[in-house]
Amino acid sequence: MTLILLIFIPLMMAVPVYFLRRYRTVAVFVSLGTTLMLMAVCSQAPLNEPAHILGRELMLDDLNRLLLVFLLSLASMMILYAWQVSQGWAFFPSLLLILGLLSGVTMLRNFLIAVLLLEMAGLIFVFMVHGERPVSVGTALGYLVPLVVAIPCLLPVSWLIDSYALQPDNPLLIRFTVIALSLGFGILLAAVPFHSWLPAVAEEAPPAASASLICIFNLVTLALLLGLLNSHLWLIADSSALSVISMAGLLTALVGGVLAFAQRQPGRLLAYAAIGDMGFILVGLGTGSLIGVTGALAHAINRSLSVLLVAISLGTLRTYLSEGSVSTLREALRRTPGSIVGYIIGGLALGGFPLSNGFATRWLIYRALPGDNRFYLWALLLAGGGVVLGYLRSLSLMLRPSPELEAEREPFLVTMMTLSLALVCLLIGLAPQLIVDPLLNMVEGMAFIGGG
Amino acid sequence: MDILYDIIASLSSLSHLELILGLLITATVIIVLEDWRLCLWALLAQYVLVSLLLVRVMPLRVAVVKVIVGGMVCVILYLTARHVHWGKETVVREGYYEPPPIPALWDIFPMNLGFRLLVALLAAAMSYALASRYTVVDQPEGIAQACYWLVTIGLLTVILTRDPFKVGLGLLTFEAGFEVLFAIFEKSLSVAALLGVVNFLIALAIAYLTIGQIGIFIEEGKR
Repeated sequence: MTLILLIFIPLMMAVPVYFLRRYRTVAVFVSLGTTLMLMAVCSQAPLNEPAHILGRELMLDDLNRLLLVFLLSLASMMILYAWQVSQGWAFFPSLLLILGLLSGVTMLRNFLIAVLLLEMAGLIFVFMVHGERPVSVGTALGYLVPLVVAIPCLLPVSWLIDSYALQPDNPLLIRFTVIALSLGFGILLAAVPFHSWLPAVAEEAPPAASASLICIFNLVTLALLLGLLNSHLWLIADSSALSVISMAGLLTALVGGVLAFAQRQPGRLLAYAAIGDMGFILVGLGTGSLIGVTGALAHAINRSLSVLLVAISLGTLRTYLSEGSVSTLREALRRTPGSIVGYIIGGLALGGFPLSNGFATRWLIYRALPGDNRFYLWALLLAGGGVVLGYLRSLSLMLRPSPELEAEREPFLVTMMTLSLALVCLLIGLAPQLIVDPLLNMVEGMAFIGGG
Repeated sequence: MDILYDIIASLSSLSHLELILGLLITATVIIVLEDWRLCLWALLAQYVLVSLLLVRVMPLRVAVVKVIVGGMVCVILYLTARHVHWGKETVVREGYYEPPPIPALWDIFPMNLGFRLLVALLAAAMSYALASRYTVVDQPEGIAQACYWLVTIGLLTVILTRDPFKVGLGLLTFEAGFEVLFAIFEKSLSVAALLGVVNFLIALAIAYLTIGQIGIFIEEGKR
C-alpha cells in the first residue's frame, strides 16, 4: 500500500495545485508539503516487499529508494526556486504529475508498463518546457517529436525479451533487441547522435523545467536501463549491449565536450555539458565492472546536482542581470552573489575540474577503464576540458562591460539555495565517499556486475 | 456502449482490402490537405478503421477502447481548432497578425499540394514493398501494410510541416501505426488503456502548443 501511495499522492495533489496556480505561494507550500511527505513515506517504505497494481508488481529496493529520495529532494529545491523566480503556471502541477509517474517507473518490475509511464511523464514535460513566456513552440515540438518516436522503439523490447526465452539461439532477436534499446534509450538520454533536442530545450525552456528534464527524467531513464540490464543477464552475456553503451558513451562525451567549448549561449552550453556528462555515465556503465557502474551512478547523482546548480544560477542571472547590465565582476557579485558563485562552481563541476564533485566521480570512471585503453582516457579528458573552457569563456562573455547599472538584487532564498548547492558540490568533491560508499554496497548486489 | 459494440462488430466484416483502402485515403488526406476540418474527420475515420483492423487480432472490448480514445482525441483537437478559429483566421481578423507572403514555387523546398501527393504515393509504394518483404510475425492480412503505411505517413507529416496542429496529426498517425503492430504482441486491456492515455496526452500537448503558437502570433502582431 505504501508503494502505491508514492504514485498516487503526487498524482492526486496535482489537481488542487493546478486550481491554486494563481496563488503561487499556496501552490508552493502544497507542492513542497507533498514532496516532503513523499520523502517521509519513501524512507519508511518496506524494502523488497512486493505490492501489486493492476496485476503488475511494484517493488522498492535500496537503490530505488535512494534514487527516489534524491529526486524528491531535487524537486523540492526546484519548487522553492520556482517560488522566487516564476517558471510558468504549469510548473507545479506538472512536476507533481511527473513525480508520481516516475515513482511508478522506478518501482514497477514490468518494463512495458514502466516505459508507458515514462512516456506519459515525458509528455507532461511539454507543458513545463513551453512555460508561459511567448517563446517559439518549435522548442517544445522539437522535444515532443523525438519522445514520441523513442518510446515505440522500447515497447517491443519486452516482447523481444520474452521471445528470446523461447529461442535463445536466434541471433536476430538479440540484434533487434540491442538496436531497439540503443535507439530508444539513445533518444531519451540525448546520447549522440540523438542529442539535438536537448540544447534547444535548455536554451529556451524555463531553467527549472530544463533542469528537471535533465536531472529527474534522465536519471529515471538511466535507472530503467540499469534495471533492464540487471534483470536480463543475457543482454550482457550474449549481446554486444555493453560495447554499444560504451562506444555511445565515448562518442557522446567527446561530441558534448567539443560542442560545449564552441557554445556562446549559456543554455546550450549547459545542455552540451550535460550531454558530455551523460557520455561519461554511459562509459562507466559500459565497463560492467563494480567500480565503473558505481562511478556511473555516483556521477549521475553529481551531474544532477551540478546541472541544477547551473540551471538555477543561470535562470537567476537571466532574470536579475539582463545580459550586459553589469560592468564589473564586483558589481555582479554584489547583486547576484549566489548565482555567480553557483554558475562558476557548477560549470567547473560539469567539466570535471579537480576538487569538484564532477572530478571525484569521473576519476572512478577513468579507473574503471581497462588499463590499455589510453584512447578512451584521453578522449574523456579532452571532453572534460572542453566543458571547463566553455564555462570560463561563457562567464567572461556574460560579465562583459556595459554602461547600464539598473539590475535588482537576487532574492535571499535563491542566494542561500545556490550557495548551499555549491557547497554540497565542493563537499562531495572533497569527500566523494559520502555518496560512493553507499552506492558501492548497492551495486555489489547487482547480478550483472563482472568484477573489478 | 452496447451500440458501439454492435457497430464495431457489424463493421468488422469489412475485408482487409477495404480497410487498407480506407486507411490509404484517410492518411493521404492528413498529409496532403491543409484544411484542419477535413484532417480531423480523416483522423477520426482512421481511428475507426484501425480498430476494425485490430478486431482480428485482439478482443472486441479492447478495440472499442481504441475507438473511444480516438473519439476523445478528436474532440480535444476539434475544440482546440475551434478555439483558434481553424488556424490563423482569428488573429488576422483581429488585425494582430499579418500573414507571411505566400512563398514562390521555386523557393528552397516547394512543399505544395503536388509535392505532398507525390510523397504520399512514394510512401504507399514503399509501405507495400516493405510489407510484402518484411512481415514481423505471423499476423492476419493487412496488419503489416497498415502498420508500415501509417508509421511512414505519420513521420512524413511531421517532417513536412512546422504547424503544431499538423505535427500533432502526424504524431497521432505514427502512434496509430505503431499500435497496429503492437496489438499483435500485447492484447491486454490495461496496456490498451495506458496507450490511450498516451494518445490523450499527445492531443493535450498539441492543443497547448497550437494555442501557444497563436498567442505568439498575437504578441508579434502587437509589436
